[in-house]
Amino acid sequence: MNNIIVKQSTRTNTKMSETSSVLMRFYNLFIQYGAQKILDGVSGELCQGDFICLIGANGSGKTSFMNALAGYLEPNSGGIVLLDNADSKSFTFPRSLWQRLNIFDGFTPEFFATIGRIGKTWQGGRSFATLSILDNIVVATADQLGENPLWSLLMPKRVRRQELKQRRAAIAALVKFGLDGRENSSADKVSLGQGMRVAILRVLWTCARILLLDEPLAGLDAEGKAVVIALLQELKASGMTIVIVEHVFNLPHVLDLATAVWKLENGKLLVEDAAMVNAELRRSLDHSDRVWLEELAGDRGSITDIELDGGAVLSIVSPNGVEFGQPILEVQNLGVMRGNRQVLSNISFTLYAGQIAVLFAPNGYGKTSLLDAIAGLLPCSGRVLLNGKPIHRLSAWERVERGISLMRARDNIFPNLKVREMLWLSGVADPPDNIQPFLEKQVSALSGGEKQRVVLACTHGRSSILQMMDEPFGALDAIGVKEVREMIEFGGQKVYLIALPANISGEKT
Amino acid sequence: MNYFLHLGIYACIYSIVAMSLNLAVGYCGLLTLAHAGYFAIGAYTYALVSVKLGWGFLPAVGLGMAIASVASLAVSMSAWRFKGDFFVMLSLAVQSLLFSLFYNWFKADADFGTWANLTNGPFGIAGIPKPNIFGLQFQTIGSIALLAAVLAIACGVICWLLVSSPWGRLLKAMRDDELVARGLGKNTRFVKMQVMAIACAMAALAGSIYAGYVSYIDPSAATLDESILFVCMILVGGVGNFKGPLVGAVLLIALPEVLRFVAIPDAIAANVRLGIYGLCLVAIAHFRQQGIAGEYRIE
Repeated sequence: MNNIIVKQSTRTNTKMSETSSVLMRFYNLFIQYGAQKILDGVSGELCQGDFICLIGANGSGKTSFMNALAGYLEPNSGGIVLLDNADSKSFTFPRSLWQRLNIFDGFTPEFFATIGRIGKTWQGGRSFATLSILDNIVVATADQLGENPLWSLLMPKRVRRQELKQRRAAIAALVKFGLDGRENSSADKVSLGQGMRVAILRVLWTCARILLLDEPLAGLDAEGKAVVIALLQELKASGMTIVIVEHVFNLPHVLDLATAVWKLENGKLLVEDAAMVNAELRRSLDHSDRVWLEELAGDRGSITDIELDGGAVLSIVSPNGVEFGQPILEVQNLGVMRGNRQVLSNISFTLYAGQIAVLFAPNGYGKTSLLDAIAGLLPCSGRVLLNGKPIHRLSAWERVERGISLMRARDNIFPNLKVREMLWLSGVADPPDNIQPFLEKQVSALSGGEKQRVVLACTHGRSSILQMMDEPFGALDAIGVKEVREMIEFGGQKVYLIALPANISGEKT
Repeated sequence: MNYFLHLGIYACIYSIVAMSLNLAVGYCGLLTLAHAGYFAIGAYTYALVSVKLGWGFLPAVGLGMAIASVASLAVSMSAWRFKGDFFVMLSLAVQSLLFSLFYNWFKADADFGTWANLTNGPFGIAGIPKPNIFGLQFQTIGSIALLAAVLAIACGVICWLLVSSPWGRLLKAMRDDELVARGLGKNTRFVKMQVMAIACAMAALAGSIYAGYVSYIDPSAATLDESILFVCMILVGGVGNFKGPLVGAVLLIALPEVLRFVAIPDAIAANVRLGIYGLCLVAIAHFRQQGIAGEYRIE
């Protein structure tokens, strides 16, 4: 990690040692989508070394606020000032026609990234899918000679030398991020957690001095979280300015580092004490996944842990009074290949009517691959039986007709449809109460938590005998998590298979 | 022998076009249907300045490439705001505009090459001189084949250097997720301008060789059919790597030639040729979305 920090600190530490300076100022920011006010006169400033934890309920505007600070979203009114020593660059909104047409003075993310040195990560990582992990990092290097086609043609040796130097540094950084040996893997073949680590490393590679991190711990296993939290500590110590939005489960980890908490509520930005928020949050998160499973099992129920190869644990909850009947899902010697890489091999388990199974597995284990293979979205070896009948040769839609429902962690929405249309498409007749307020909205206009609620409604609302969920708590606030847990209940023949990162709530499973 | 040299010249010309289109479509994700227009810009520029001004091959080609590069702004600036289907539609509009210019910049009572009658409209320009480089005449089919091969290899080397450089990687990153690339400080608008300028200039080079070889050019070289043929080449051969477009260009040149050895009347053979192209495209779309030798799946 040291070389990453050095990369950052070459431009920041000198100023840090003198005084804490203001890097960005924003005032009276106002953002409105239709009749809905997202930000209502928000003002504040970011100083060097600030570690801000941005919190708020789903739909409160956290992502919109971050997008405005990174130059992705133009506020309806207000202003943003980027400060760098004596220089400053200010933007006032709404912008005039001339300002919009002037390509050299644009309110654009590339301008904010280069002039303001602001880096942003996205929910889910958003790696460049067809590039290798190594190229995902090196492409972020600022001022590359080879990104000018003339230099590439006229001075190929010089370009290659610079490229080799960057690649060597990136490989060393990948090792420290726990991604050694994966540098040549295609970015679309790595797990969500590994992709997130790549995204953080990539944004560090741009020499940013302000980091806007959107749920950087989401989907990471315990090891991945430890790596990222250690990195955040180092960045904080080096004087990096960080604004972080995090999932409710992971908030305690980042609140420990926060210098202040910004809370978005009814469009207003409230500044709160990090220690107080942390204490309150820990009280509200009074039970981990394990406790939740124990509650589900009840006094007379049982939890059976099956240890699978690769450090994964399949916890099967058999509730009160449920007798083992006919097996609903039988997975026999299942194996999955991704390209030339064996992702899963010899996975076998059986789920009986009424059981709830939770697969706790580390990043890269193949949780998503397992669910995709059972759903028919990935080719696999071995056998899969549903209600005693083999389904492993059936196509995905035929498996759905036989009663399989899958909630994917990624690529799970139709962004251009309205919520109502997406529910119709999923065959959900009665939308649940928690998504009624945004039935007529386009899915792409929803916040991360709202999208997750819609996806849950689409998959959970249809009749099925096997309900599979890949990281269903992602992007949800505390209320959302509670709703999902209440949604998952024992009932008749239905079986749940839920995939979660190992140690999601920071407690030992 | 001449027959094979003729095929070789066509293979070289279309390989240049396919490689150039691969930069825009395969690496940058900009599916343009205006490429025949830029091919024709090169051909017409060479025809006009060599016939009317007596320019040699290299300056005429240079001028054609420069004009095509500037004219590429019509496509690349569309790509600033639009992508996917909307970008395709806008490129189609540029294609129609260019074809319309070549077809309608014509006045019957004016000499061609004048401001009133620049392109000679539907009658085209005949009697285009063969390439002449520093006094060296390329009159024979063999010498033109050699020139076409050298230029195709030069374009291949340029493409290879570009796509294997950080610039090529940046194109792929933009294709995968432009918004994230912008967030990393990459000026994707400028890069789009660069890639379209290079691709269109190479298409213009191919057009110049074509005009020099055939000695005749008319607006049929700038039709939508031609653009679709170019796109077919890279979709059948494959995009996103170096060899795919070459395979596509050679294959789509060679396949219709098989008809010469089958007893099909000429009038029908032209339609069968189009049928073969369509069949290839449908087969590829169903069975191998990344093309025969390509790397990137267009979905």
